[in-house]
Order: sequence, then C-alpha cells, then structure tokens
Amino acid sequence: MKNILHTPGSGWGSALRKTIAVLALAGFGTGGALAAPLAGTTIGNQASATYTDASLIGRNATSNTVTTIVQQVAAFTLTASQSKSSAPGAPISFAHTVTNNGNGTDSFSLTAVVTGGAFAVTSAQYFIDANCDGIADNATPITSVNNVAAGASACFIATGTVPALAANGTSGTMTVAAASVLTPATVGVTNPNTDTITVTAQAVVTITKSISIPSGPAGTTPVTYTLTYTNTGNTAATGVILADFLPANMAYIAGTAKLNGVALVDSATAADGLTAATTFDFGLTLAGRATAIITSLASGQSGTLSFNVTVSAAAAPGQINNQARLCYNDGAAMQPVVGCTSANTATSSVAGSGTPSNTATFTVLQTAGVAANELLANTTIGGVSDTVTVASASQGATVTFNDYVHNNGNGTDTFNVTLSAGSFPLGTTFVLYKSDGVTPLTDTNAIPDGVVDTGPVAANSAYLVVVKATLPSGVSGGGAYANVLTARSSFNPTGLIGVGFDTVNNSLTTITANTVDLTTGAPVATATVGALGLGAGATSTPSVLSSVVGGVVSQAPVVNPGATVTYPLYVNNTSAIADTYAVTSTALPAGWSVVFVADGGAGNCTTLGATVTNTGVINAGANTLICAVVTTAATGATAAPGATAITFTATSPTTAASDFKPESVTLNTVRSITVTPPNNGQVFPGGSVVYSHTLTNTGNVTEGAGAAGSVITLTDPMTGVVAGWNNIVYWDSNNNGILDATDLVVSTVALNTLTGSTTGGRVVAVNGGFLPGESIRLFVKVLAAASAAAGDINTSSLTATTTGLINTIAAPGAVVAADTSTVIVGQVILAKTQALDAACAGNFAGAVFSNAPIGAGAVPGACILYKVTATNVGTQPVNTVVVSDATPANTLYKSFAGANGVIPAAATTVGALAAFPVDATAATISANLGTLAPGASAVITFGVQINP
Amino acid sequence: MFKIRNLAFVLLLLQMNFAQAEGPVKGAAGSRLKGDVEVVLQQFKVVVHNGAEELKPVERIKPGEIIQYQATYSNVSDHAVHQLQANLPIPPETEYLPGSAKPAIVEASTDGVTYAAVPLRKKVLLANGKTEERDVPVSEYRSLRWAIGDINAGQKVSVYARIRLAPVASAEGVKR
Repeated sequence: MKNILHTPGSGWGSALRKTIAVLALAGFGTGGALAAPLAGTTIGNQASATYTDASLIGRNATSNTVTTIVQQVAAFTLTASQSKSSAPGAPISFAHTVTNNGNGTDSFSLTAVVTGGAFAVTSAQYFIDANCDGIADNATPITSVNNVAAGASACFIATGTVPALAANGTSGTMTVAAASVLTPATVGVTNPNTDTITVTAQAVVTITKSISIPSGPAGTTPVTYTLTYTNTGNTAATGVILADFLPANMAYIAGTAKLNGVALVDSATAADGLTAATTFDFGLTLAGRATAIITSLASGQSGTLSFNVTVSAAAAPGQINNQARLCYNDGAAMQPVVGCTSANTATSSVAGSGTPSNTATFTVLQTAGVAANELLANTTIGGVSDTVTVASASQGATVTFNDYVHNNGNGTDTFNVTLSAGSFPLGTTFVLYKSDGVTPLTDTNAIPDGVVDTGPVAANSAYLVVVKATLPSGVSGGGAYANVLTARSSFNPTGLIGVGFDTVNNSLTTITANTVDLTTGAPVATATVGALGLGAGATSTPSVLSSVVGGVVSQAPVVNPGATVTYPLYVNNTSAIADTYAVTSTALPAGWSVVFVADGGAGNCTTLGATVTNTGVINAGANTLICAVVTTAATGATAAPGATAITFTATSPTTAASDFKPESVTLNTVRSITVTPPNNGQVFPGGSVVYSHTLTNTGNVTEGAGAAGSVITLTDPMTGVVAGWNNIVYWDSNNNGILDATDLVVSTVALNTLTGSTTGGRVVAVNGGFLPGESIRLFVKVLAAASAAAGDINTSSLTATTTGLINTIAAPGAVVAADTSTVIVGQVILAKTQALDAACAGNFAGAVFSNAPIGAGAVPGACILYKVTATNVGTQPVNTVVVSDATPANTLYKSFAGANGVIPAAATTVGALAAFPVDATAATISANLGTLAPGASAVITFGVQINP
Repeated sequence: MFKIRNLAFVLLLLQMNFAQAEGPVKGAAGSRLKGDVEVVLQQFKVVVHNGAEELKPVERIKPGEIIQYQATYSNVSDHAVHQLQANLPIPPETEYLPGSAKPAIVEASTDGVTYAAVPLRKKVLLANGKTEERDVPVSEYRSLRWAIGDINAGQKVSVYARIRLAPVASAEGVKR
C-alpha cells in the first residue's frame, strides 16, 4: 500500500504552494520566532470538540493522538576572526567557537590550519577548550570537536608559533574551518575564520578571564572572576587598563578585589597593591565597571586581578556571559590603536574600547518549584486550606473544582497533572480541562509520557486546572467525597514536595438526591398543596381532582360505567439535572385499563397524542404533561357504583427519584332493564303461538331483589282483536330455550317472589334479583280465539315495570316487547336453524343444525350454515309460497362452490330458487315453493361468512 | 477539480483509519471519550514535487517541513448535536501556516483558552507611551477553533490546517 496522494492543479492553496516555494528558496530565513524542534522530538496532536447534546448539556469529545518524529538536520556557525600582535618567535593562540545550529547532537571536524600572509605560522594545532575560558585545557592536539548538543557551542584553541625571523610590522594569517560530521557533504565549511598576526617589537599584553564556579542556581555567591594578564612582548608595557563591566544579574561584592592575591582598596585614586600607582575601583571610574590600572608591566611579567560577585536570586535560567577589556601602552602607542588612549581611563567602555578577553560564562541553572492549592492569590504549598470544597451537587451532575498550579521555580516548567482515585462513588468520571473549562488537558511533553499536563507555565505564574467530576446517576447522600490532584514538575519530577510536586484536595461535601413532584391539573409553578399534589409524597386525598371527561377538563370525575377519565399528570423535575421518569399506576380492577399518552397539543389532555412509556428527558426545573387515560369497566362487578382509588407514580429508573399522587374515579348508579325482542307470528284460529323474550339487567346495580328496593313486575296486556284471545307468560326456569311443563307461569307477578332454580345452567337467581348483566328468558304463549277470522291481528305487550329507589336513583321506566299475532287459515310455519362451519366447507349434509346460539367459533372468517324449514300446518293447501331470507348484518352470502353458483350453495327441496345470489354480497335468498300441501314441508339451505 | 480531490481524500482516509486503529491511543485521560461525537485526527506531510503538492503519510519529519492535519467529527448518535466547536491545537515547537485552515473562517488562540478571529491582534505599549494594535506573530498561535454548529445524526464534518516546523537557524552551507 502506498499512501501517496498527488494533488494536482490549483484549488487548495496555490498561494500556499507558492509560499512553500519561496520559503524553500530562502531556506525559510528567520521567519518564525520558534527554534527548530530537536531531533527525536515527537510532534503530537489531538483534536477535540465541545458541543451540546439533545438535552442542551455541554459535552466534550477528543480524538486519537497522531505523532511524528523530528529528524536531524545539521547546521553550524564558526566564530570569530581575530587579530593580535605578537613578538617574533612567540607562541600565538586564538580562541574559536563552533555553535551547533542543527537540531541534534553533532560533531565537527576541524580542517587543518591554512597559513598565509607575509610569514607562515609554524606548528599550527588545535586544542580543546571545554570551559571556553580561552585557554587550552590540555596539551593534546585535536582534529575534531565532538558531540556538541543542539543549540550548544564548543570552544577550541588554534595555536601556532610566529617565526623568529618574522619582520616587525608584517602580518601572517591562520585560516580555521570546520565541517559537520553528520552531513559533511552538504554542510561543509561555513564562513571560515581568518586570524591575523601582526609582528611587533613592542610590548604585547594578553588578557584571559576565568570564573571560579561555572554554574549554579540563581543567588549563588560568591563567584570569583579572575583576570590574568601577561606581557609576551619584548619591552615593558605601561598604563595597563583592565576594565570589566558586570553583566545583568551579577553584583560586585565590595572589598573583594585582589591583585596577585593582595587585597585592594575600592578607590579610584588610592594607590595600593604592589605598585604604588596601581588603583582599583568599582563603579567609580565608570558606573557598573570594575576598573584597574597597572602602572607598568615588564616584559614577560604577568599578574592576576580577582574580585567576587553575587548572582542575582532573580536571575532566569541561562548563561551570563562576560568579557573584560584591556588597553595598554606598548611603548610606542596605546593598544589597540582604535578606542584606547592614555586618557581614556574614565571613558573607555566595554562595547568599543580595548582588546576583549575570552568570555567567562556562568550558567544559571533552572530550579523547580510548585505549589498546588485552592487559590490564585496564594502561592505557597498548603494554600490556606489546600482543599477545594463544593458543598453539594445533584445526582449525575458535573462538579467543577478549580485547582491552581503555581510555578514557583525560576524558569518555565510544565506540570504533569494526575488525580487519585479518592473516595468518590463508583462510576464517577473525571476529566481535566484547561483554564477555559472546556478544552481537555492533553499530553504536551515533547516526549509524550502519557500523562496530561498544564503545558508550559512561566516562572512565577499560575495555571488553573479545571477538574470536572461527573457523578453517577444512582448515588445520593453520603460524603464528603474527596480526591487529590498532584502537579508534578517536568523539569524536576523527583523533587520533594514544593520543589518537584505538590497536591491539592478536591472535596464534595454531599450529593443531593434528585427529586420529582407529580401533580395533577397544573405544573409545580401553579399547583396547590394538597388538591393538586404539590410537594413530595401523598399530599392529597383523592377528593378533589382534575381530570378530563368527554374532552372537558373536570374537577369531579363521576362517570357512568365504561366511560373514560383522563388525568393530566404533570411530572415536574425539581432536581438540578435532567432526568427521565416512568409513570405507572396502581393495579386497577378487572375490566379497567389505563394507558399513558402524550398531550395532543392543547396542553391540558383534552386532545391526546401517541402512547408513551416514559416522560422522555425533562430538563432541570422543567415539566412534562402526561395524560393518564383510565377506562372504567362497562359491565360486571367492577362496574358497580362507587369510588375506585388510583395512585399514579413517577419514578426515575436512573436516579430513583419518585413521587406519587392519589386519585380516584367514581361510577354513577345506572339503572336499566331491557326486554327483547318484539316478535311477529301467525296463528291458526283456535291455535297458539309461542314467543321467546330475554329480560336483561343492563344497569350496574342489582335489580328486582325486592328487599333491596327494586321490584320488577311483569304484565302482558293485549290490544287489537282481543275477544276470546288469551296469553300466558312463562319463565324458562330450566333455561333450556323450550317451553315445557316445568316452566313457571309468571304472568302479572313480581319476579322477586319467585323461587329460583339452578337447573340447566341457568344464569339467573331471580329471587336474589338480577345482578348487573344477568338475564332470564321468558316465553309468551298467545292463544287465538277459535272464532278468529283470517287477518285478525292481536298484539300482546310483555311489560316489565321496575319500582323502588336504589342509591336515591329512581327506577327506570317500564320496558315493553310487543308480539304481533296475525290470524291465517292456511298456515305456513317457518323454522330456522343454524350450524357453525368453521372451515367454510359448505357441508350441509354433515352439519348439525339447531336453534341454539353459537357460542364459540363464530369468529370473523368463519361460516354459518342456515336451514329454513317451511311447513304447511294448516288444513288447506297453500299456493304461491315464496320463502325469503336475508344475509344477517356483518355477514355476506357464501357460495361454497365458487363463482356464479355452478354448484349452488343455496338450495331448496321444493320449487326453485328465484335467483342465485352473487358470492360475497349482502343478498336476499328467495325460493319459489309453489304450492305446499297440508302437512308438507320445504327446506331451504344457504350459508354466510362472517366478515373477516 | 475540487470535488475529485475530495474523493481522493476519502479513499486515503479509509486506509489511514485502519492503520491508526491498530495502534495504542495516547493522550487525554488515556483513551478516547465515548459520546455522541467521535473525533478522528489524521496527519499528512505536504511536499512539493515537480511543482505540485503531494500529501504523504508522516512518520518522520525534518525542521522546515509542513504537516497537514485533518480532524473529522462524526456524529455517531441518533440525534443531532449542537453548538459544536472543533478544537485543533498547534503542537509545541510548530507554527501554524497562515491561510491553511479549512474552513477558512477560524478562530485562533495563544493560550488555548481565549479565542479570536484570525489574524489575531494585540495591543502593544510603545516606548512613547502610546499603544498600537499589531498582529500577533503566528508562531504564538497555539490552538485553532472552528464553530461548526449543528451536526445531524450520522453526519460528519472535517476541518483542516497546516503547521510547519521551524527550520534550523542557518542555511545549509556549500562545501568549499
């Protein structure tokens, strides 16, 4: 796999590409203030994001970390070209410095000295000068300077001997050059230095400067500077001026100057020391300068001037460099000629006058110091309390601790930040953020150590680390919970407390339990204590209610059985953090049901939305309206009048916050009796006809129990032609559907006076009254007068009259089922029976027909077979008999044989069908029987299918 | 042409995803935080070859070279997220390359805390006692931030920026 992508054309940044080209040509110049990263440095990066989720809660995300490693590039500079005077035959030395400008440790080979000019310097060699004091460290020649760190310098000395015969006033040169060992081919000799030697017969005074302690922390004292001066010329020098401006952060210690080990007096005029005219002062001749004047220095003589200084305690880490300057009269003129005069004692300056010595360097070492505490204003370890305390937080909330990390060291330092596990509840997550509180801390160390850190913090500055602890949702109470943040210096990670590390405590006193308030009718802001359930727990008796009945908000849910009552339940999140709640109710009586649905938009449950299983997320302080739709039982014992208690509960499955609200619904007393059906029949003169009726208690209280206050009395008055007619009412006491000898006559009787029976699975105990939903079967036998004429019509009205109060409710009105009997001479009786055909097979021959109700199996899609038997029970033939029947409601005609009745499903044993009905239609089946003789019968069969 | 190149990016990123998923993930809190938004950061070395730019995978880089970062923010939840701000630090010892941010409207920060639109400006107290507003050197930019806003469920947004490593202090010499 080759992951190279070529991106031709313009588009993304032709300008950028131009920039690259220009920069490449210019070698990038000195564009940025940044130094090149060291070879081996890991450039790591990690992107992050802040956003809000669906609950408008702030979240963070961080990416993977990508890294790349910096490679080494070589570069260096060589300094500096110099000029010196020398006596003939004298040794000569020049100090040079190679500075590694590359980004990794490199070595530099030294090119053999090339001599030139009026004479050739002999015995040219290089020597190492590790402490850069301008003096060779030993007598071993070198050909290279090895292992110079990136950014560091190394010093070496080029030496040689001036030929003894070199003429005064002539000059020779030594060319010094170096090359990078890492990449000698491309990083070769750079700006070679050329040292020039001028031969003189006069005095030649040299000066070197050394320091007693090369490095130390800020505040180091005393540090001794020693200036060594030597006259290598052939004549005496006079008016030797040693001048040394002290650099910043170096302070002279009064009274410490010595000449050749003998103490000097700090006075610009007082003669002291070995030579009467020698003087020394600091800051008098020229401010900030140590000045010594040695009157005369004989040929070959040398001496030392030393004095002590103090390194400022406030010095930043780094090098403090210093050079001394020298002027002298070589017997012919002041040297150097430019800048030095015999009268310049008071005015010559470091910058422009005199021959510089080598550079003496004091390196101020970095020291670490760290304090972590709760305040920005307090920089000491331990702080005031050393604890960041948060009094309380909600379950699942995010707690913020502000921990300040103070850099008490003298240099920029990066502090690794770690947290102890501490005593926070299991499931607490901690994230460390930058001072903005939203950007996560990352590992910024040049060589990643896997620990997040503050990034560079300047000396005497503080960095705010924001610790966010997200508490688990399921824990409340307890405390205090605490953990410890440790800030550890990257510069001195093993230092003791206050130097290498410090800690600060983060403490959460307690976790406040989440709460929810369940109210009805109104949210918390407007709800009242008690009635609407404001406050935790059972703050209401279920006497005053707010509910919706029939689409109207009601305060009194008293309803009829089977009605629906809707409770507007406001789930109020009274916590400080978003939560979700499940809403439930106590168990309801059989036949009752409750569903929870969203509000339909009206804001009061007068319209309903989708069914819900929980409230969804409710933000802190907000509420959600849930409509609890309670459907009461329409029939049965649980539909009885009275109040039924219902308690609604809202519970968070996450935080266990919970509240409940008691409610109730009251069912009305409903009194209702029905008698069905009205019948039509035909009767032969002197004959009889029996009609079947069902009397049903369709209310929700027991009727007809007598003593309980309700009495049902039956009557059966006749209208129309009544002369010679009679009727009798029977109770089908054995409940077999057939009028037989055991059935009791109940004409004009109060039903509660009867003695009930359980024979035949009857459903009614009449003497105990009718429980709601119970019924009895009654037969009415109508006896026609023997003298009745064809066409006479008699109507018998079976009437059930209820009296008495129940629950102060008046009895329902009398109910009537009228049976109309028509007198005929030729009399055809129709009998209809049925059979279930669950498989819709159309097997008429095998079916068992009866007039009993089909209790089970008459499900949608099943078929029912009908058989209608027409019998002439008269004494005369009956002509042009037509029998018609219609498919019942909720059914369609079924042609079992297929389309168009090829094998007709409908059939008659006498005559012919008038027409074949069309399959799957609501149809009338009509058969033309023609003439039926006395006693003859015809059977018509057909089938229907219950609508699926 | 831009669309075509974008397509090429996508193909490349898929490969890079595999490569990076295998390695250990270092950084904040030791692992990526789980949540609605997943962030994937990728890096490429920008080189100019025969006058045209190429993006190459980076394992090693020299001073003076350029890295392009691509951070992709994917909403892996089933709902939209809002007010998303994409943060891309400028690693220490590297320098943001002005004009390389995509989208181009970007904020920058010198401390990772306070952001302002680029170019950053600061007030400088002059020797004569007056203050003058000047550009903040880009070498002081330490973090970039894009205001992305909403990301719908299943969608993703990428941001890009380039950085360069400072070159070594002196030009490479020619051997005499």
